[in-house]
Amino acid sequence: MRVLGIETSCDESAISLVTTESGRVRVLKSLVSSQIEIHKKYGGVVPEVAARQHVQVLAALMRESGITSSDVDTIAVTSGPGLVTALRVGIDFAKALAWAWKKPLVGVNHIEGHIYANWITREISVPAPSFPALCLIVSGGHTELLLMRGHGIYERLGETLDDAVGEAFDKTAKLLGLPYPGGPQISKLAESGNSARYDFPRPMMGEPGLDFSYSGLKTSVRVTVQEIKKTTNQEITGIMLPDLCASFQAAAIEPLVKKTERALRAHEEIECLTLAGGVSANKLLRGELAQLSAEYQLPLFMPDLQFTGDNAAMIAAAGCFRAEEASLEAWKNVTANPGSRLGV
Amino acid sequence: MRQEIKKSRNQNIKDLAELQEFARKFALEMRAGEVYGFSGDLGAGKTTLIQMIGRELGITVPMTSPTFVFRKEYAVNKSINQEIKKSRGQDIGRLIHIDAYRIESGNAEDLGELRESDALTFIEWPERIEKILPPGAKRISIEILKDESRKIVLT
Repeated sequence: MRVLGIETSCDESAISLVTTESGRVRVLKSLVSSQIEIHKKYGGVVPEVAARQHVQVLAALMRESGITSSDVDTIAVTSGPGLVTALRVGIDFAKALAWAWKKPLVGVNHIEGHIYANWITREISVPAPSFPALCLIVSGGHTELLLMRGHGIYERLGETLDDAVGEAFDKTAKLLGLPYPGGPQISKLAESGNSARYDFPRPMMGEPGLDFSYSGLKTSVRVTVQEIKKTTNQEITGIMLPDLCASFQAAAIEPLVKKTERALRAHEEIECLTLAGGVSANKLLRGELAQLSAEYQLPLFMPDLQFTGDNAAMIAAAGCFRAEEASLEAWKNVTANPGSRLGV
Repeated sequence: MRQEIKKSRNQNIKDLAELQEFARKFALEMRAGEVYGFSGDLGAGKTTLIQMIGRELGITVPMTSPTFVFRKEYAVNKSINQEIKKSRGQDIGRLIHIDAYRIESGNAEDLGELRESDALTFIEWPERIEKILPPGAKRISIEILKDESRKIVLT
């Protein structure tokens, strides 16, 4: 089965064509057009700018892809969570295509898409994740531990009580005077820094349960930066910056790894570990989870780096496992759901 | 000058317990249809204060940061709402939590309606959407003092 995926929930406009083989997903085409350059000017996403860009870019991407009606069995589009105006552009585009091409359409949860990035592979012979799978979701808007008991069946084990981990990276970057988007900059600088130099709190580590909290960590970085400025009477420069980044990164990543381990202990039925979301590109996190999975002798699935950020291949991949819900009538009723949540 | 002083109120907060006490009293003053702007640097405690007020109003689900999606809404617990009605003579149906941190000033249809008659609206980073703030919006600013205590100014 071949599924066309369309994604416009935030910064990226994307289109992809995938096919299923032996329970896994192979990407035939994946085009992503990022608006990060545009948003850099404003220090963040501007919804109206985002929506306007998506409109212009989607049609161009579609032409560039060369995908035609006969290539597609089903269409999958991100229905939420995300920015409502941006989501609507992708949904309207998908509805128009579904109507014109007479193809079934299905709305896909964006976070579910990130999870299904783990089904994408070039090696069809490698088995797909088996259930129940523990999913650690780390992005700008989400920090969650989900137990995935089957396709589309999620149980929420824990989540952030305030800021998402990706947001903590971006806001800390802003505090340190780094340009947008700051998260990847922190990780890069952290590589040459000493993570033991500054002792930042590991939020929620002492608490029972599997929830996270990141707003206090950001405050702690701010206090430390103030102190450095006061005692040295100068701005943050030189080796201080990599050390601050490394120390912050260690404090941000450790609770993710420890809570994942706690979830593994609490649910012995777990068969594999999957990582999803934009922060899954973080090297420290990938390394620590690899160690954890080796220790517990569980297969670990991490998305290929090109599919860690927002893309449409992951939406099409999720659509492959949602195809029975797709309908020819869906162009009438798929709607944007900016606050949708996965799992109960 | 005199009028300015009369209109605004200051309170010094030295720890989370004091912030909690402030949130409890402050929540009692709030009425549906009101809009509150919360200003303060990154890490000043805007979200923390809003979460505390939310709990006073019976929001039991985690109130997570709306930075990424700009707007989140919460239904006020029905039984708590009964108490609110008794003490205030009026319901508060919803709490709307908006964060303008990522928005360029005054161009923001994604934030949705800022003032709704059945809801309380809390807006973080209101200075970034000054042009579209509803008239009469109340302002709360959290200043970080040298000793890391906070000064809250209401205007």
